[in-house]
Amino acid sequence: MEFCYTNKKIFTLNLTPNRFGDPLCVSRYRGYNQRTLFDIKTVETVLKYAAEKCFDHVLIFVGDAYEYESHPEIAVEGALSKAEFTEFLNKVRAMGLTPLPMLDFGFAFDAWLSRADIAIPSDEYLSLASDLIKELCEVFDSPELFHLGFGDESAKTQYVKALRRTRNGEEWFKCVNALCNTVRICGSRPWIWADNFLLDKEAFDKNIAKDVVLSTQSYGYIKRFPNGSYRDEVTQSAVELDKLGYTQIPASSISFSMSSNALLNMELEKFDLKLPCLGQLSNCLQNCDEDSVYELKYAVEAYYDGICKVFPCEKEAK
Amino acid sequence: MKDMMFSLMLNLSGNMWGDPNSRLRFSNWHETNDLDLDVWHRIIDAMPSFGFNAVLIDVGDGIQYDSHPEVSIPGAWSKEFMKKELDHMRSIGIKPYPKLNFSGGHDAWLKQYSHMLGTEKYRQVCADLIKEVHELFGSEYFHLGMDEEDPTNQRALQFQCVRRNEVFWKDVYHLFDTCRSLGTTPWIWSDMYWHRPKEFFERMPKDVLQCNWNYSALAGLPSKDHPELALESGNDSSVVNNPEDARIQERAFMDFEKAGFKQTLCCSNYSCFESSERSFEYARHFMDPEKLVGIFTAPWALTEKRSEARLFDAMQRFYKAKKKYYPELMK
Repeated sequence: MEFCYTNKKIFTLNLTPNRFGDPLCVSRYRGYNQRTLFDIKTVETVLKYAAEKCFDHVLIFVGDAYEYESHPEIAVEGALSKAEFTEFLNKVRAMGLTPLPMLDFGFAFDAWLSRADIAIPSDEYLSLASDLIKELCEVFDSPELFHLGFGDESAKTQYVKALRRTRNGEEWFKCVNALCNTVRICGSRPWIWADNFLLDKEAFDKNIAKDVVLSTQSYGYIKRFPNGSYRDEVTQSAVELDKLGYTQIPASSISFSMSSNALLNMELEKFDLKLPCLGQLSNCLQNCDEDSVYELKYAVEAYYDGICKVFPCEKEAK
Repeated sequence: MKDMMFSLMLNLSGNMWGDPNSRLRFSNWHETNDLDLDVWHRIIDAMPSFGFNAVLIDVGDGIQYDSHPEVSIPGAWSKEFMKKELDHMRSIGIKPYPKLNFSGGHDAWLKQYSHMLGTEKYRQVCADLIKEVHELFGSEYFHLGMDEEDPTNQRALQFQCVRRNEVFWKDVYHLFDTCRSLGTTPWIWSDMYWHRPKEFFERMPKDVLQCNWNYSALAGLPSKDHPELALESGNDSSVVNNPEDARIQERAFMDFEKAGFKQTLCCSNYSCFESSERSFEYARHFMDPEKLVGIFTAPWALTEKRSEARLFDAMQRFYKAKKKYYPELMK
């Protein structure tokens, strides 16, 4: 063991290919797909590599890659049946990784919901979303955490989409809280992206309960001002959320080619967050197909490098 | 179609950025040669299967110089060892090209001589090192670096040095002449053009091979395969709807071609994962093959274990792009 970090070390696995681009979008690389893109051998290779290096959890963005019994219309071709998915999760556990589910209900990343022919948002939408969450809670066997997404859904983050939608104020909080409640009923803890804190900090603090786990997405080169505060508002928001009493799992990524980003997010946890974090999330946005194996291994290496440097056992012991 | 150079850039030395005690966290000064030989061999041996036929090696202080041993880093390779490595590369179809970066912003490897720019002594040392390296490589092109010699890129260094006007050109012409006298063609990064385009075109000799590096999705340049590029790139600050208004960093590809320079394109997985595919697409569809010497990728990762996946990722992206746009040159 070259590091001493006992919190969750979480790797992201994207099973759904449909996060960014909706069916009518114009996109070079982030278009809509009528079938899944993951390659199961690659998935197993990468997860095995991740587990061997340092990871102990895997956050699985399921989306339309699963045949929901309550809403079979959502699944794309190649989606896993309940039996197949259960078998897959057991394999994942056998590798030493605890699987955690993710369904991103943020409008910027919900292309996987495109086959659900319903008005969004609406009571019907919330009912459908609750059904899907309940099904995944069951198949994941009451996971400790359930990631609901809900990141920045501004027009900027939906730039590839043909249809750009945004919920503001009360409507956003209503959806988030309704689905967080569903997660709680299932016996899991809700987890969302913290992006919307920056839109209205006061309203966020007032409306989002403290049991909701938050992840900031600070994926660039994290720099500080001479007074110690962070130059970018996203990283600084983690410090503010900490002061407000939220539990966090900082997210890092190589998807913007910043190989030291994981290390910088770990330093954020170590030096600037007073409350204990639940863990650190590596969020590589890539699909898990044959062509992406090096990129995904690169994500593992970058995270491993960070954790060894920021949380080394020897220095901790001294 | 004539064959082209398809190259990967590999670092033998890591001392092109931070000088001793500089404030660079991730490109810091190395006291010894930290290259991982196993990683080096795995990369080199895999290159032919990824469609490469050349490697550009950033040599720096990574070999034991006879003329100026004080430049070499502890653990630097002997010339005999280097020669064996180069022979091996050639034997598997990989042509090695050397790079010594003489930019004031990337010459920490030159040790005390990096503080002597603009002097006769400096020019003599540079010439000596070029000669020694050329003796080993004997290649058609010799990369001299020369990028990012500006205050911004040296802000974290202990010693900052920017040459202008005659001081700059006197040194650079000397480097060019040294290469010519050895029978190798000087090759440089071309980003000085972005800042001083008029001076660059007036004074840069046409026989110098150019490399206008660009690691973005080239959203400001035309695209046949992705006509929607500008529409999609609302998130990309480099986007413009009219190619004529493209940023100079992108427009330079066209400008160099019109001005009669031969050039290489350099892509990377350093800051944009789409860089390889777009560079290949632009090269294939819009560049004069007579003036395009080759394409290479610079992952900007040291040859060490933690960067191995990143290096392979760069190779994989390059391979896919080459296969798509130059299928007839796949072997």
